[in-house]
Amino acid sequence: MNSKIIVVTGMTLLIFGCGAKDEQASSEQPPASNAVAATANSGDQPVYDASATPEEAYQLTLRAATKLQAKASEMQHEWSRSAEMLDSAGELAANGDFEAALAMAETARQQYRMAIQQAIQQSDQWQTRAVD
Amino acid sequence: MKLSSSALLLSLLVITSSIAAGPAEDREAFRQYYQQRFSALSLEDFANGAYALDEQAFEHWQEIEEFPPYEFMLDEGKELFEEPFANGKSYADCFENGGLGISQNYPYFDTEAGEVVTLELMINRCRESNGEEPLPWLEGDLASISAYMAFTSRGKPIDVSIPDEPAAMAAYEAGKAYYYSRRGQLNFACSSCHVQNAGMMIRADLLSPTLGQTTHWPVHRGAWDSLGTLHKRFRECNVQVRQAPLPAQSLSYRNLEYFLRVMDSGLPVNGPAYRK
Repeated sequence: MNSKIIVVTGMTLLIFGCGAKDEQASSEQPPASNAVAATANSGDQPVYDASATPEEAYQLTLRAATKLQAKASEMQHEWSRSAEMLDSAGELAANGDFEAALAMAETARQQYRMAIQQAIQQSDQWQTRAVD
Repeated sequence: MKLSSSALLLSLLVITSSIAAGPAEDREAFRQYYQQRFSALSLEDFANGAYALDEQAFEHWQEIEEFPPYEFMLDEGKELFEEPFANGKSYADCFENGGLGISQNYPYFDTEAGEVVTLELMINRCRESNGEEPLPWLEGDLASISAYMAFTSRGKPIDVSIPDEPAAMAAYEAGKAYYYSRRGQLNFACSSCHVQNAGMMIRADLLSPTLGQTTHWPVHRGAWDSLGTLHKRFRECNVQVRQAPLPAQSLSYRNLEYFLRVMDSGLPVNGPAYRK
């Protein structure tokens, strides 16, 4: 492997000192196409390390995406194209192209994550609107 | 101290007025908003949807309505409605007034079941209670039967009210929240198009106001080339903003329909109708 990315999960950044959490910390960045490997965690955020195969990284990302999909669906905020992306990722994986499958599954995972954020933000805004 | 007391009093007044804003106040605010925005229109004009906003499109639509493309489906709906079930009963046995001239009262809140019941839901429940298979929700026979029932209500003012029950109010509020919540990859709420941008063009289409959006269903849409139900349109709207659609007759869609029909109460039923 030409480059290896080792990332640490759970890291948050404070922006402008106001306490806002940036969930786009480096731990969530997908591995570069040639930087693969994964170890499973219990959350919806895959932890990539340098020693696993592309297939393992894909499987980990798929599991994380599926978990987020269920949550987004439950909140009635699932985006319409994310599931298609996971299907496409599955097809790529079936053809043995795990790096492309990983990239596709990671995009879907990020979409689910944003859909959940949208649901939370809209709910908060609605609650606020109801009382002010 | 004086300032903070004043601020507290003002906050309390605003909170009190917001909490006091019920469906009647919402409807009044809706009407005022649209009638100020489209001051040339009468309240009844809003039942014509986007066509009320464009004279040329209105004339074209009126020509289509002279020989409407849904006419055969309306006849079919009448036949299906009158055809007895295998047990000898019919739809007329499931509805008040034999099912005729009643669609303006739907949906309603079933206080025993604690849920909103739409006309299409009631049609399928009628079938199931008489040993028949339910019909598909989005189009086909169900839309035809619903169209016939709407036709028998033409001209009658929509009369959907909320019973004095917390669950009914919660259903109304849930429908309202759905209408105003941004969804999908494009981050649009129903209100983004039909409140904030009503009367504006989106590509080649004129955006209809919310007021009057439920008066004319089921609709024969040119884009569908068939008669479809309101929930089919809900699903389509969701997909247009890249949101995964909910199942037709899901609780959320029924609550949404409830909210919209409460807003349209007082407007005349003019369904079924043609839309672009």
